[in-house]
Amino acid sequence: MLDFSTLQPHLLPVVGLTGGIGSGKTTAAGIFEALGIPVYNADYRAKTLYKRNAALRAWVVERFGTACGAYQGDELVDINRKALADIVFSDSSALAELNSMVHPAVQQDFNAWHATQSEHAGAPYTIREAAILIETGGHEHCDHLVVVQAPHSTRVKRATRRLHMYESHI
Amino acid sequence: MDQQISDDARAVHANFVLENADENTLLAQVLEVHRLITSERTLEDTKTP
Repeated sequence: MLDFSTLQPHLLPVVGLTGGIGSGKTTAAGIFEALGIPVYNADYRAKTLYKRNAALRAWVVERFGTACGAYQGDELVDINRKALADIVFSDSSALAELNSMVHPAVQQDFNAWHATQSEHAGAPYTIREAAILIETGGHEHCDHLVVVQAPHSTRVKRATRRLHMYESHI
Repeated sequence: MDQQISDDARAVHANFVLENADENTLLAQVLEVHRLITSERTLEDTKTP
């Protein structure tokens, strides 16, 4: 008799999609989406992760201080991104420590999303879009990797147009 | 951009590189990647065990 408890659910292949800021990876992701392919936007999901992951935001406040929390009354409900950014972007070891907590949490979040898509989406594969995918080791969990490239000058122009920033800030 | 690696470093790991200097060519490149991935999947699915 088959032991069904050992059977793994069928998971779709994962196609990683990455590229520098202004390269056009989000435009490419939109085309994949129009083809019916589910797209996981890691940057967006990471931004909402603190709201959804109580353990992660508790760790942030414990490690970087109560000023890094956002509260409703006494309840810690989110992260004060500006306060956190002020700390970690001026201290590379603090940034590395934060990344060591956030990146596995994003991977876990992706795994859960991917399992749901594999079961219900009826698509041939899923797309995992992230600006920093290779940098976090996330590409090692992908079956294929698509890299979007554009000349540096084009990327800077697109980014400044989108973010209303000066070129020196990119 | 500080946390990001260069295009050359990314390309080393890539199965597909899309050149997006001109956005008019991106659609055709994405369609080709989709075709290649799904045709590979179709071949895998029809393999006799």
